[in-house]
Amino acid sequence: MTKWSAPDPAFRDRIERYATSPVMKDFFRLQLLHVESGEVTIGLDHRLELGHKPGWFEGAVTAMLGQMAAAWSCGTLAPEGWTLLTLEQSVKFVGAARGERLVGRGRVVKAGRTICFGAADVFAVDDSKESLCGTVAVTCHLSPPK
Amino acid sequence: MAAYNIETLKARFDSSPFTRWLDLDPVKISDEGLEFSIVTRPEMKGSPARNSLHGGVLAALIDIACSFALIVGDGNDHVTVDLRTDYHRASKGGRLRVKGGIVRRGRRLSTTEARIEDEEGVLIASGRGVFMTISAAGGKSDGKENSQ
Repeated sequence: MTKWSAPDPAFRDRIERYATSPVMKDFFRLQLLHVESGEVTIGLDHRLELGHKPGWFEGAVTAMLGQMAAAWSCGTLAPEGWTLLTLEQSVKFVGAARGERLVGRGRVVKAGRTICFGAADVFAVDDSKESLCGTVAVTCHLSPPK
Repeated sequence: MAAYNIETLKARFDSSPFTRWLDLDPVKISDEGLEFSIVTRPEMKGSPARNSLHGGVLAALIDIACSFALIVGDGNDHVTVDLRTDYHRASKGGRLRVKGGIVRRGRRLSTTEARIEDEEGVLIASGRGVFMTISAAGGKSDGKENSQ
């Protein structure tokens, strides 16, 4: 149970649409693991195309996963028909992004009517052990229909 | 004198599977930074409804421009410690120009910045990063090897 209440009961459908965008579905092959009001967890398996050498994830991939988990957490709180835009993101690379899998756990930090702050922790999973490799903060804008 | 020229930088870009997927074209190189271009493709779009380039791709371009602003000058590797990206306008695609420059080069930590513009010169995204230098001779990575 989260402290945020999604105004759109179909918020899970919205997040699934985000996750099936071309770059997410076809290139990153991102997996949606958990969606609740104000929380999104996503994961992706390692492939050579996602790193600069075997076993390592590219920094940009770590940043992207964290950004998506954080921004989509904000997106769960968008009213029906509103759109989600990321205004700014900041990522701290705190550990090695090495392993068979990355998992990004996102959450809403504070939600206003149109500005929403989100955060995510990104973990590298190696031999079933998780280690924190990145933390991400985002500022998102929720835009009403034009 | 820069450690890379257009041809060797293109080869360096293409040596990484991820940057090879992006398919980057170096345009200018100097001791103080670089410029490269990218022709965006449909599979890089975020929302089909908005027909705009995905923010993760833009952040990746900022990261690459910021880190390679250092790499082309000294030939060392630099791993990302901190990266910030500001999204200013939606990009509808086409060719983007990406410029990376050095704010301050330190012995261990350096700060760089980058801009992404479309073909009309409209600023799409900008960013700034902090990078830790890894010796080209095989210096210790501190286990934080997240980027190039």
